[in-house]
Amino acid sequence: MGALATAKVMKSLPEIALSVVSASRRYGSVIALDGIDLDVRKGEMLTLLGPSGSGKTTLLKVIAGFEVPDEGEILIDTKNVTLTPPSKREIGMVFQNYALFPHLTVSQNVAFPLQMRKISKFDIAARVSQILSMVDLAGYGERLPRQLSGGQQQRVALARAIVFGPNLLLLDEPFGALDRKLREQMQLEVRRLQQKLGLTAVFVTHDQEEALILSDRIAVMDAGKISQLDTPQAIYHRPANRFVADFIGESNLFRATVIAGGYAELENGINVKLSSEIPSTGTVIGLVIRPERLRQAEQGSIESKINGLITEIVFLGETIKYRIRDELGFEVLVRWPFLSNEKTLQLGEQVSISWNHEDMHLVKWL
Amino acid sequence: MTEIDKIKLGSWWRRNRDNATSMFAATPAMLFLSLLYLLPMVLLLSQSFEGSSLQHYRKALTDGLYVQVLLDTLMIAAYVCIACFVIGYPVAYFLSIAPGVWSTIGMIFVLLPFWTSILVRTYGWMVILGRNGIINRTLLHTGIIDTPLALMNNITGVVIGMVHVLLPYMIFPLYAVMRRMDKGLAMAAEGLGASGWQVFTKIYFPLTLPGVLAGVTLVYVLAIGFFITPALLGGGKVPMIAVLIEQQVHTFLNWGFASALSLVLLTATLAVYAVLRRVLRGNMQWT
Repeated sequence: MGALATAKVMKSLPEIALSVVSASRRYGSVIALDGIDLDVRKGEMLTLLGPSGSGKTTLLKVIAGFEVPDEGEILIDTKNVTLTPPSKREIGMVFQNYALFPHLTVSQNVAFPLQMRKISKFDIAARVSQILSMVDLAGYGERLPRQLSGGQQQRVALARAIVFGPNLLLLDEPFGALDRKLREQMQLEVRRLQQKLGLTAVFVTHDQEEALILSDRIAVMDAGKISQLDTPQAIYHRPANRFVADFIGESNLFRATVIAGGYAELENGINVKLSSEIPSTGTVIGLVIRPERLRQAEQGSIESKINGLITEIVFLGETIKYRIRDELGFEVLVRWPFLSNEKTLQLGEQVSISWNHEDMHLVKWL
Repeated sequence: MTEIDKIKLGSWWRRNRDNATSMFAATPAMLFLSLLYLLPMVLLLSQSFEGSSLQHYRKALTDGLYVQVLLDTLMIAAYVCIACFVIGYPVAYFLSIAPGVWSTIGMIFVLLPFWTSILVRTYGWMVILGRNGIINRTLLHTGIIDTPLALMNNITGVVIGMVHVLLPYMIFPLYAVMRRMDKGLAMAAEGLGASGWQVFTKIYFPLTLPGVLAGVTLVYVLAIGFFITPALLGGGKVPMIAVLIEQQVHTFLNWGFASALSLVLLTATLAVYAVLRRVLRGNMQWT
């Protein structure tokens, strides 16, 4: 039975398109990558998310072959490509500034990778016009890059990166230069195209919102390590540690001490019930709760956990954000839907805040 | 008068006043250029038509000797230009990619000769290239050759000397273009499957063409009118047109003919410039 069961499990597991095996890279005394292990499944969009200097760009360069890791291996389709030059890796890459060849027309730019592969002129022409219409640029073939808008340049870069059917698509902060509206549109377009063509993609960004929108999975990077690797929902609602909780979205992070009976004591003296995985008594833990999960409680009621004054109001359109502070200086951030002016709380108003204990997520304090 | 007319009149008045102001501001420069460049040019022109009007031009353009010298001049300038390009391109590339210190050191090596008098450098080459010069003595001494090589008083010597003088004019424009080059482009090309050679021929070199145009134009135009180096290193055996002009003025006191030759040289220079611009611009519509 054992062999059969194993075979079945193997089959149900998605194929791995790219493996990074304990890759490290140092620049002098700076450790850019610190033993990274990462598997990217076929057809998924995986995002490397992190602040600048977290090593995400270095990891992308190592995958593309522009950097060689000091230690570790890169496998593409189970083939070791650690020392293979970029030109032989069959990877399509969209650069931050697009890196379109300014002296070549849109068609020539897109044809470039095909010419490098000695494909016949006839096939190149067909392939180029097909891909250009796929990215909505039919009829723009004879333009030069500088005659295009930012969004159009981005599409050309994307077309050029996928026209030769690469094993892997790498995107290096490609939306940074676009304005908000266009950025959102391009994000969805890239996502649609990636899913339609079944492309395996690795996407680098420091914009957590972008990561949440686009990814199948997110690898949050911090100081050359992967801090958490999971789906956007899990990253958002169940951050693995303080760094992730802090980096992804806005959150309230409370320092608390575990006390007897499955409770923890917050710094303002309030005891809260822990929902699961209760650490031993006396352990210092972090409790994360998203601002939108907090609610207003009846003042003086049993469920009210924090009583304070509103010290800051930020109007965000569909939501409104309040900062609330109690007399001990204990602060909490809440975000509620904006309903009407009458229901909006005023600066200095006294409020009580409560939450459901299952909305609270426990992380290590250290 | 309607409101609109008033506005129109106002803007007309303003425009004219602005024009008058800028004219006034340009006056010193215009005076300077007219006195020091335009006037001598006109004098030169009128001088070249002295006597029986077109006689000097007829001589300059039909006499086999002068036509030959003009063609030789254009040829030598072309050799110099090609040599400067072949040497200057890699040097400029090195300067553009070398890390800080090396780039500075390289730059000093290019600039030092640039700041030294042409006369001094040309005499320097005479010491190096002469029959009893450093090169010949070394080669004879080591037994590599039996008779001294003729490195001077011929085209070889002239080209060597001129290349040395004109090299910076090729290097600087190339260096400027290469420094500005987006390194991401070469990376992108490599990632798309281009070999090192393909990256160079398809991406890097075409993108340096504006620098090549500037360098080639500068060197060629300067080379056509070169005087000191061909006069000294040519030893009178390499007649370039500037040498000929000097001869007409100095030896034959034939100012009219010298003026005509000068204007032929000027026309040839402008023609070469126009052709180079056209040819190289054709590949650079993207700039």
